[in-house]
Amino acid sequence: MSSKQTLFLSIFTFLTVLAWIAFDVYHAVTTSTITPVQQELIKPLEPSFDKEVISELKEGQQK
Amino acid sequence: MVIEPKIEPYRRFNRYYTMLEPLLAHPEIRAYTMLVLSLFTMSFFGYFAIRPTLTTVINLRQQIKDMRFVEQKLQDKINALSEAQVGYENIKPDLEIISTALPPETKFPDFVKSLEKLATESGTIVVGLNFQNISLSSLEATTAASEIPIGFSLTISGDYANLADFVKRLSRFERLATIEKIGLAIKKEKEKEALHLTLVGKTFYVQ
Repeated sequence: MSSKQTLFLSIFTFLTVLAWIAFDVYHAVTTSTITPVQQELIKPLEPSFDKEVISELKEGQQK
Repeated sequence: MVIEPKIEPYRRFNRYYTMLEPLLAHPEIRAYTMLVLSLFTMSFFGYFAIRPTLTTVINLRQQIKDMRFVEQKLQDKINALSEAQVGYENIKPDLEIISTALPPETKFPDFVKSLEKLATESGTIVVGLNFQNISLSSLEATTAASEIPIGFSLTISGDYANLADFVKRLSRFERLATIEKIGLAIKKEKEKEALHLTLVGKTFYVQ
């Protein structure tokens, strides 16, 4: 193997490793660590009751 | 005490130094060798040391960020639950009305009895009553409650005023029932004409 080929191989290896690191970092940044169970648990809850409907039901029964 | 220099390793590797020395004497070869060795070293440590370290650091940072987000959302949910608890206490006296309007089971016999009672009160006669297929046994609980419709078709007979009274009573019925279609027809019964009202509707229960 000539010295130029060795140099080319080392540069190519270095660039591949660099790209690999970049891809791994990107993957780690974009991947969420929230589990499906946690996603289910953090679903928002509407705390108010529709009092209008309850009054309508009451009025309907009183008539 | 005199410390003697360790010359044994030098002697052992002396022939390698002798071999490399003339090679590295050329500036071009020396530059190439240094560059290639540096690149391979960086690649090696990049792959086996820097990559796992960076990935671990970023993963941990991401975990911290996500856990803070989850904690915030859970705190919001706890606040919402407290608020809901207060609201629930306020509507507690009306729960009976709600569970009558939208029962947690089919309460099929009760509904039929109520329809018959309505018919009697309004002075009409129930001629026919059909229901869609429903499961009378309680099914397994699901994660989110939803209203299940029960379709029915009711035919009653009587004079117009009584039929109108029945419809009026049904629309104010304590159990939630929707009227989708009403049909009026005159039919002969024992050589006598009678007004028949066919009503298609839905009632609901929560599952």
